Amino acid sequence: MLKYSILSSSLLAGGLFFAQHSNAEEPTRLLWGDTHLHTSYSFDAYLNQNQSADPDTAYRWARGLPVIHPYNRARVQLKTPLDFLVVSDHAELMGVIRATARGTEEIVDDGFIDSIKRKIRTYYLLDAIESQAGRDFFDKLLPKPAETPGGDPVQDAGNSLGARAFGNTDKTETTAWHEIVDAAERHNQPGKFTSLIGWEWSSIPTGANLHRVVISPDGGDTAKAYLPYGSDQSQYPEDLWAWLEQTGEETGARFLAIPHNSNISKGYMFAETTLKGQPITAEYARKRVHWEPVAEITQIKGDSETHPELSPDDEFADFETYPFYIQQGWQPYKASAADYVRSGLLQGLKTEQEVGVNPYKFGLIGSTDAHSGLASAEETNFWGKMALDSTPETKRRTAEQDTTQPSGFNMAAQGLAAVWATENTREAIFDAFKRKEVYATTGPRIAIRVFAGWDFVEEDLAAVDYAEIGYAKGVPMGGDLTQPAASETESASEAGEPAPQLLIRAVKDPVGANLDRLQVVKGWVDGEGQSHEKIFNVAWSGEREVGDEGKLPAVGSSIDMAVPSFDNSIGDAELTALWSDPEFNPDMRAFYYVRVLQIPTPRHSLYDAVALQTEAPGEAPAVIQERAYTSPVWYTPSASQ
Amino acid sequence: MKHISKTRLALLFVCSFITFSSQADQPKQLLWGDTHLHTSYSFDAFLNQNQSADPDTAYRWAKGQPVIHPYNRARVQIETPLDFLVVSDHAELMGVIRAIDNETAELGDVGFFADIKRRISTYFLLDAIENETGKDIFVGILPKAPADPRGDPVQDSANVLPLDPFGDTTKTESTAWYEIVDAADRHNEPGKFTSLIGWEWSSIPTGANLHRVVVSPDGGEKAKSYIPYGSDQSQYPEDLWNWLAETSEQSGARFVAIPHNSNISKGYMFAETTLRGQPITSAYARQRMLWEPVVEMTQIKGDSETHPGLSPDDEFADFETYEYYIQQTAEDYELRKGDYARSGLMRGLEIAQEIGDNPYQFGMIGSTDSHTGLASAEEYNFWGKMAKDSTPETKRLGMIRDGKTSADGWDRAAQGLAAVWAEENTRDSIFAAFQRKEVYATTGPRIAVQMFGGWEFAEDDAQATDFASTGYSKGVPMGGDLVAAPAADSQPQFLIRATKDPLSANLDRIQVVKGWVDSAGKSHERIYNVAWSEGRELVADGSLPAVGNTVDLEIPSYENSIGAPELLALWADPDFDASQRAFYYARVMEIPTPRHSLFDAISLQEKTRAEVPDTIQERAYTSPIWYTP
Repeated sequence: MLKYSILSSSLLAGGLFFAQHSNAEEPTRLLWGDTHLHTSYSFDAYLNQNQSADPDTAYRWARGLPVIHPYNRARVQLKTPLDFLVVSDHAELMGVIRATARGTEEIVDDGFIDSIKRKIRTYYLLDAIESQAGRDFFDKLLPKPAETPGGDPVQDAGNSLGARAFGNTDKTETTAWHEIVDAAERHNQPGKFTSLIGWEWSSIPTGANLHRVVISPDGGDTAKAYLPYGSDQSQYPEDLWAWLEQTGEETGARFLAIPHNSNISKGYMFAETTLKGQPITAEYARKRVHWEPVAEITQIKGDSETHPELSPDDEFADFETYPFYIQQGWQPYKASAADYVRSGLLQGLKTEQEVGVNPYKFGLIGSTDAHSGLASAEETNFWGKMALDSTPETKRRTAEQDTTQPSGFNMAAQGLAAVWATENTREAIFDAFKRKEVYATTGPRIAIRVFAGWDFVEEDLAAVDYAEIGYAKGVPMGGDLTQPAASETESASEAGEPAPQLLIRAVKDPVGANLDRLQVVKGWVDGEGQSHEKIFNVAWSGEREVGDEGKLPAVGSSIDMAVPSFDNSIGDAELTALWSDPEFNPDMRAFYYVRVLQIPTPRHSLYDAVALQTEAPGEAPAVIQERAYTSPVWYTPSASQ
Repeated sequence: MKHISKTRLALLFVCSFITFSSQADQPKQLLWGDTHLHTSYSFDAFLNQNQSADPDTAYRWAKGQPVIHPYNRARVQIETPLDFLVVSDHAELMGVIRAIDNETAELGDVGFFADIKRRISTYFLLDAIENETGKDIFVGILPKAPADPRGDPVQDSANVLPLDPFGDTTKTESTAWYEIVDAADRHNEPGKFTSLIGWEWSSIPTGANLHRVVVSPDGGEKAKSYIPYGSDQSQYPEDLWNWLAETSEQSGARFVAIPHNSNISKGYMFAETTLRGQPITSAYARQRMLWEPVVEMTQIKGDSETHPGLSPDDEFADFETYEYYIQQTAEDYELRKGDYARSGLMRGLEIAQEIGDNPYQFGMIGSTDSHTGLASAEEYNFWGKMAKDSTPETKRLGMIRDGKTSADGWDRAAQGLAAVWAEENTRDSIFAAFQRKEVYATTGPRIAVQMFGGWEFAEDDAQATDFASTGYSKGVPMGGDLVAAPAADSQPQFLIRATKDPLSANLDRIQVVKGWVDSAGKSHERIYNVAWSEGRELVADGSLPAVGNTVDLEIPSYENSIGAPELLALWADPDFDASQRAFYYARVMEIPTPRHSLFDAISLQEKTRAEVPDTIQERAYTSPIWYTP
């Protein structure tokens, strides 16, 4: 009976972890969601063969119900349901292509010439949809690259606002918005499942991606008092914020905006200046962090943490790097410091040093940006960016890999938004976003708690009331540290200079892979205003030793490429660390975030390759190390407070 | 969090379970497989939109690799790989439709008129495949209902061997057979994964299903020395057995034949007489038992354990009842004793009492009979009987015959599997287990069941760590025989252990199904509840209250808050009469779980049809142990 007792003790251990996270005593609980999902109401989703997965389908999938895939028509299902979802269809032409194809569009009298133009467009549209060539139609709606790169892209001669090809579509869009809102209301079940109402403002002047997902915690009545603000109204984020402020005042709606795909923003997302090229002022910075407390760091169109050229010493930097701009015609990809989150956070410190306010003090989440109505971020259950990407044979548009065009194999099966909230409600989730107590994963449900403080002790790590201690003695992820008064840091003072500590606990996805290591990513600005970054390995599995320059040997790989499969014979199920910064300088602004790496696992493209009996696609590596990024904690010298 | 913790629990169970079955003190290991799988090489599979899942796809799926679904083209994968597989394509027109469509058919010279006929047939065939109406052609070549429902169906005036419109297809068929054999040899990895070479002999005179899957443990070279025997050569099983005997002598190949879908055999599968209507002789009985030690009694086209009409006192008898004959013309289902495994086993005892030999002393397995190349028996990962049944919207395009709708994808069952207690995962070892009937059936879940029959088990043997060693040393395993009670008042005992599928639902109960024949030659059946999950007590009549139901019909989901992960029993027959022939098999019931049709209905946002249950109690049936005075 020995075997059975081992079984029951491991069962208990398994149970313990969940008890830990669903413990009613804990101040916050971990919720998983996707804040960025498109349905058949988005023009590009509809044109790429998602003609049936509407907001209702999206919610049903998220709640764990089986649904029909919009392209291959198979029955598909999420393995572990989500706790919350934001359906975020493009504001521009919201529901219009769908309505036109279904003949339910509501036409506003647009005069003789315009009505002919509209009819011709409609004819071509329907023809394209009918012959499954919607994608070509879609390509023609994409922006053209800048004629004068580096300037204000909105004013560039090459920039054109997507013409209102279908005339005045306000009526159709209003109907669509009301349907989207109604679906959200129907599926919101406080305490069980949360729908947050939202949309996407899709500003992309000359192919510089400046997209924001707008989210509101308020209900349907409030949402129906306005129509989503689109980039057809303005491509400047300042105008979006102004609209949010004004609409908030008029309707009582609360909002936040989440930028995404900074990686393909052509150097504009976290730039040194505003989009108009003006210096960032304290007022701009305050406005920006007010509306944009969180950025989406990882999604299907790649990972935006950092780029190997920006972080040459980071061996894990080249992860799901996505070098394709959204535009007509190809242009080589160029990584800019303003394109990535880590360099953006660093820029924030520098700007703050100059103007006193940090415009880029944001928390981090992942989400999918799937256009299939299916929030899927699992390598084994990934149903593609576009509906057409759902079968291995249609993931590539050309017979061979075309390095100028992204294929379904370039797309990454990620990510998710993890939220430490007091309960599963719109209010609680929105509050967690506001205080940045959120984090990103590239798909796996890795649970992480981080607290920063000055006087944690080793026993706190293993404490049953870990979370209570963390909140009582420190600040959670997304929080601020300032230097404590000398009297408050007795223990640290005894040991010498006080240094910030991070108390970290990470647990593997219960149905996923083990963990390789915990790293702390530190960024800081020196007296000259120069920014720096450094990565510290703070906990890891097995008997590895940190070598020169702080490098830790690789965890190895347990992958059987032929199946493909992996096992958890390497790595650890849980990693913890109490780390204090050995290089702390109390005079320098700094941020700290935690990166948790999994052991290597097969990428979705490898599953496809095995199914197709071909070599692994050249677009991307066959195996990946999935990861989680916590929101940072910032340290600000007291003198500057 | 409910769902996560369930899965995690399950994962932990997997580990412990694997440990359990590969334990060194366990004389046998439990292997899971499917002995009945069709690929694009079967004419009906190809005509029903499986044009790409070939034997190679079938093996890759079985081994746990992702593959492309032949109809919806999505990437699909089995949750837990199988240990062995028999690709069993129809011998008749083996690979021919595929070859014609691929333009690789090797057709012989047939003369002017036959050639024109063949060209016309080919034209219509290709046209139908192009338009996805291959199914109509398929229906067109199905048998017709008999003129005399009680006679020899082979001699019935309505019986026609399907004409062969393509002329002599032997060349194309041998090419196909060689490819099938080569795929099997390529994928056989002794100790890791076993491919057994096989095919289906598809005798179905006037719609009476007499199909047998033939399985051989021998390698490619032997297999290539013969061409599979098909029902186009004879529709009589005796002729199949004669061919097996002869071919075995000539080539050295060993065989077993596994009958299936007795439920739609129109009373002929386990009949009182031979198919020709002659009395069953000892020679017939011995010949049958030599070649047919095992029966496939649960599969996609329904469960053949028993029927509520035959076992009115069995509250679980109406399970995946499938009442649709395979034929062109509509005919109401008529229940006959020759149609079901339990009544067949009972009839076997009756005949044995009369002639001294039992023609129906068979072990039991499940398998899929899937035609998609994908051996899938899981409710939530079931890819259909035919490739076109793989999407909820096309699953319910039933066949219309004589204006009546026949079975559609919702009438079909996501089952079953063959469980084998073998020394090792090799062709020889698995074949030996089939021959000694140390095999059993499940309707999909990997419920581990061991059963031993004996006279001298002690109460703590059921709890013992060396349960299996004790079982083998003191008794006989499933499929075995008990003879001569040691004392006049001895009762046969059964030591049973059942463990849940590590990824599936808890267990409701273990039952022992007993069949016996009285001195007047009349057979009887009785079901004993012998172990069950906590919180219930047997009622005076021996029945047990239902386990309950945790299914959330809206998601759908269930939880293991009822039932037990493991059940043990040491049971002695209280009604034993040492002078009466009897058999005993165990039936292990799971708690209720959602059926595949419910997953579909939710995805379609529709209700299931009234005749299709939303939840089912999956189950395992062991091979019987027989007592002979």
